[in-house]
Amino acid sequence: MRARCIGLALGGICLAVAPLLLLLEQGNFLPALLLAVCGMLLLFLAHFERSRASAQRVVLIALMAAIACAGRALFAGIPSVQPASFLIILTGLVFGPQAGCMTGAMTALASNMLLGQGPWTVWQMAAWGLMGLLSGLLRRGLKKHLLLLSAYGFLWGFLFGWLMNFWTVSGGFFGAFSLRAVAAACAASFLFDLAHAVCNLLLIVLLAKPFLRKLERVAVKYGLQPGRENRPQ
Amino acid sequence: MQAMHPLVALAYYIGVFATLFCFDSITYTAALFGWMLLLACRTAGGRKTLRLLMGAALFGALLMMLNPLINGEGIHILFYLGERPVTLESLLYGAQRLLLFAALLLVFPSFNVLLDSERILYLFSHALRTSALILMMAMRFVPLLARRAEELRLLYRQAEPRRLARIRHAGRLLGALLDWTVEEGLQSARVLRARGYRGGKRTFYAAFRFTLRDAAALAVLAAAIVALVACRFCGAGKWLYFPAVALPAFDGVQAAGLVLLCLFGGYPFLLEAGSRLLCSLENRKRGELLV
Repeated sequence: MRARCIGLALGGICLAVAPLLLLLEQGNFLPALLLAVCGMLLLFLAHFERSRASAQRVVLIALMAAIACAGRALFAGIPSVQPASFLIILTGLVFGPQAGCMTGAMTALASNMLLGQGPWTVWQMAAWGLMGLLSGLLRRGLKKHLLLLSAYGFLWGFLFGWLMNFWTVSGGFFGAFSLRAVAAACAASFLFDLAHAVCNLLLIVLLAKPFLRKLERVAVKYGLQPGRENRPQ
Repeated sequence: MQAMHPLVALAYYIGVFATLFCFDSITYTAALFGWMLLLACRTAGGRKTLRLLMGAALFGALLMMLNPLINGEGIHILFYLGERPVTLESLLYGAQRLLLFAALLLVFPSFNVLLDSERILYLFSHALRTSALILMMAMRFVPLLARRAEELRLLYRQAEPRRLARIRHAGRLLGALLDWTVEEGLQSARVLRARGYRGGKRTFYAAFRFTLRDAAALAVLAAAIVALVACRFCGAGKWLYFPAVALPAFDGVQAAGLVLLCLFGGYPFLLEAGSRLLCSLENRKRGELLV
């Protein structure tokens, strides 16, 4: 109850202050956006706390986040190949939007605890969190068609890069905030985003089916399917 | 600041981020940059800070040069690069952004020491218990999983030159890692339940105590942040870069804002100096008593 109240209050304050900043000055667009993103993350965490997740769900989210971090060791020999996005998408598909979003946010936070936090952490949490959330929400369609899932993974390679570009643009390195500055940042990151997108596509085409089978089995065995969050184990 | 309650450090860093984004004057950003540089050297060591600064300088200089090329706003034209005018305004704006970027990067070496994972978990375990538990478990799983991943990689080493085959092989290893750990992890969830997870209110050992000294330090910090925000609303540290650079007169508000910002930025050093002074006074008093 206390956690929910604190999280809701902090999230609410952030979301309330963000438009005020924008009203105060037009140049405050990016700090306002950052504050709004923080507010939404806090609201989501408060909602997650309220759901009183079971021990299995808690351990599973921690494990998926840890595997996403450690998976980098396995793919270290192949440049630009990062399995984190692939695993977050699969978590959302199999365990639902809440688990997907939480895994995404925790992957960013845990990996940056080891690699070093930075101004990019909040944006990574938001981008990967959103990736997991959307995967969970669109799971019915995505799980049926591999082609659709591949296109979705490919698209997220770019979406992730574009969301991350906001922290570069917020530094004002491409001039004051404008659509032109955003376009310049997106053009500069195009090759990196393309590498991420192709990596997602390859991992989904090559590995999605066996991984989905493995995770579905775990979900059924331990009652972790989406929509069963609050049922007693 | 390391000896104090983590809440003081958290308040300090919230203030640092807020002030970095609030003030757009080069002098104000440079003052904060200087303090962050000193703090990073003091907490994380000079060598690490220098390495970070070199990287930031390279990237920042590139961006600073890029800014006048992309951003053609401003009326004071310095020279032409081809047909593109390079203006004083865009150069100054680029310099301010370079300082801001470097200061932002320099916040984190000291942040990672003064608010390490133990302190962050302590702070957030009160408000967001399940999330803090997940983060703590994930961080404990990572070294184990990395070790297992390395074991698997050595066990099934493959000299496959084709990139696609290498990805497929690494994926197979990732699948093995998933099988190895998920089942085992879910067994540990049963242990968690057996030990009373979600079993009601529990007591816990507080590693950090919130003392009167922490409350005083927090109150001073909060007052400084409120005063800085008030100065900002009075026009302190506000530079207008476009369309023409307009520097405000260095009046009382500007000076007060700068002094306050310097005191705020150097707050960890002030705290350290204060505690050293108290310690030496106490030692002297004890020495006199012994004599």
